[in-house]
Amino acid sequence: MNNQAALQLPFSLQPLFDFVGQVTGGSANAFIILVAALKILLILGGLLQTIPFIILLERKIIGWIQDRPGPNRAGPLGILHGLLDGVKLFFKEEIMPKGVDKVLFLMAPSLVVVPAFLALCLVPVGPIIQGRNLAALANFLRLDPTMVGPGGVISQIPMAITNPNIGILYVLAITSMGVYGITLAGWSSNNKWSLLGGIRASAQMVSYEITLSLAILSVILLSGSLNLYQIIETQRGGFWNWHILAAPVAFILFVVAMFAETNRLPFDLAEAEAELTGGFHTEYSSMRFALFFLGEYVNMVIVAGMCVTLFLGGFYGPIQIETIPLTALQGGWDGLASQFSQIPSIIITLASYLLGPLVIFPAKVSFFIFLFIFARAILPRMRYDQLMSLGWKRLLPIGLINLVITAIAVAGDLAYRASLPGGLDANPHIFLATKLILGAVTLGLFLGWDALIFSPARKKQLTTEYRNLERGADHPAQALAQ
Amino acid sequence: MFVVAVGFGVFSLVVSPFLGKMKPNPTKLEPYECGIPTVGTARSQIFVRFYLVALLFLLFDMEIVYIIVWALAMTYKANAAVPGFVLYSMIVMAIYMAILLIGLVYEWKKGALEWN
Repeated sequence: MNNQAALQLPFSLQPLFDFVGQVTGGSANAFIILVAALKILLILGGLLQTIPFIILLERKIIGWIQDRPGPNRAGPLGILHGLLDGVKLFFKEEIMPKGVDKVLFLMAPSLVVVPAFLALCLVPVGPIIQGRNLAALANFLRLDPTMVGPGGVISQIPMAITNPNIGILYVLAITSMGVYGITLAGWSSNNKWSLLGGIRASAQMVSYEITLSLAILSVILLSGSLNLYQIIETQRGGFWNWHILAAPVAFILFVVAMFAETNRLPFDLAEAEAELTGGFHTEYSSMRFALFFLGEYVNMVIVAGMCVTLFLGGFYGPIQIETIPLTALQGGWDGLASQFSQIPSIIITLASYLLGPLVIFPAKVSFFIFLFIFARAILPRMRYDQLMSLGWKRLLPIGLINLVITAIAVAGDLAYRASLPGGLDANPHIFLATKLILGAVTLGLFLGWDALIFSPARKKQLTTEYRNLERGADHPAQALAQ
Repeated sequence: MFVVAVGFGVFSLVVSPFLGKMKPNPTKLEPYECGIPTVGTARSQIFVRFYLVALLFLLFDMEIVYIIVWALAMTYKANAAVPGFVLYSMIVMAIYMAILLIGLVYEWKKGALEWN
């Protein structure tokens, strides 16, 4: 800003703010509302644009794995299938079967979609714009610096729709509200398949939520905050700071629970099409069905985004790019801009901010989306008793033990850092060595668990016992249908 | 965001019936049961294990909520700077975890986690 004429928009946005300010009473309100509306438009709009393509990608990849072309009729390579499916569902007939509980039947699809959207508004897709960069942005957009800028009404713009301090706790609370939608859909449909699907889904999501919470607790201990931006801040600097290295077992638990929470294969017992026709949405058609479908995919993106945020450094790349020029060139981004004096510094500032939300974050999230799709194509469905025993007898004890070890390591590190000269202010972060040792110990215990607990002879005996049990056991669906 | 989310949920449900054609007939309105006439009521009895799972979930979820508060309190900078606070909170948590684990072992031995 100092060494060259600052680039500005050729027109002023002030009339727009004035207009909204008149409607909402005060120009401060106008700025807050317009910034929020812009973020909702960008994040929600961007997501709703991608979901048809995620669905298409899923069908294509599954087709490819099963050695068939997949959808290829609408548009080149079938890229219009996802969009046209949405349009088609809009124009389909709504069927309200007799005997349904009308209010709940109508409410249930919204109860799935609304919590999904509400959880979405916390996913941090990019860094916080603040300080001199916000001032530069406000200057570029010709906004009033007392409104947008350091010390103004809007002194920071996080690239998430909201950024409350309770962050991850809110996500946990809101996503578990989705259980209501599925259960009520199953119950209100007046259909046996739906009821079974709904009940199964509720028990499953509830069981795996404990695993999910235990995995998140490790991260809360490591970062000492519930705020998603602060959790990402503690992973800043490079991939060696990511929580996946300090909490690999928590990461594994989170990924398993993630599949169960979204009702995806291998845990898709709620809609298991081979046994329950459609599960909880058997009786739903048209847009009501589309909302369930949409909710499932939005939930997939959210849990993937949460996993990235908690364990994989969020929108930060594997190596911190912006630390190199910032320290090398005095004067930060403006200094860097003077190196490329042809390019206005505002463009470079914006580009550096857009790298996270446009490249790094989508790349990391799509890794998990691919994982979801491949798992669906490759893995068989679990049996319900296996699902429950995995959740309660395997993952829960593993999660508790992992939590205890993590807590001991973090507490030891905390006490040591507090005793150092300068105290916690001089050493605000957990030592890298502690993280690596913690990661190695928990992962070693996790992998060596069977070898530690069971002798080979005992293991063989257990396997035969389990096989016999498997042969003799009734299918749980039969037990349910009695 | 709440307004947008609820608005979207309600809007698509309200608009959809006007766009699609509505031609209901008695056969179409039957609950789906693989094409055969419906047998009995759909609101049948539910396996009692599901209630047990819900109860266990409530217990563990409450416990986890307490652990979250503890984790935040222990790692809070001003708290952790007090000499002996970290050790104290770890002892408190050890007692809590011991009770939790005893409870889990008891449930396991009683067969509350079995599904067969």
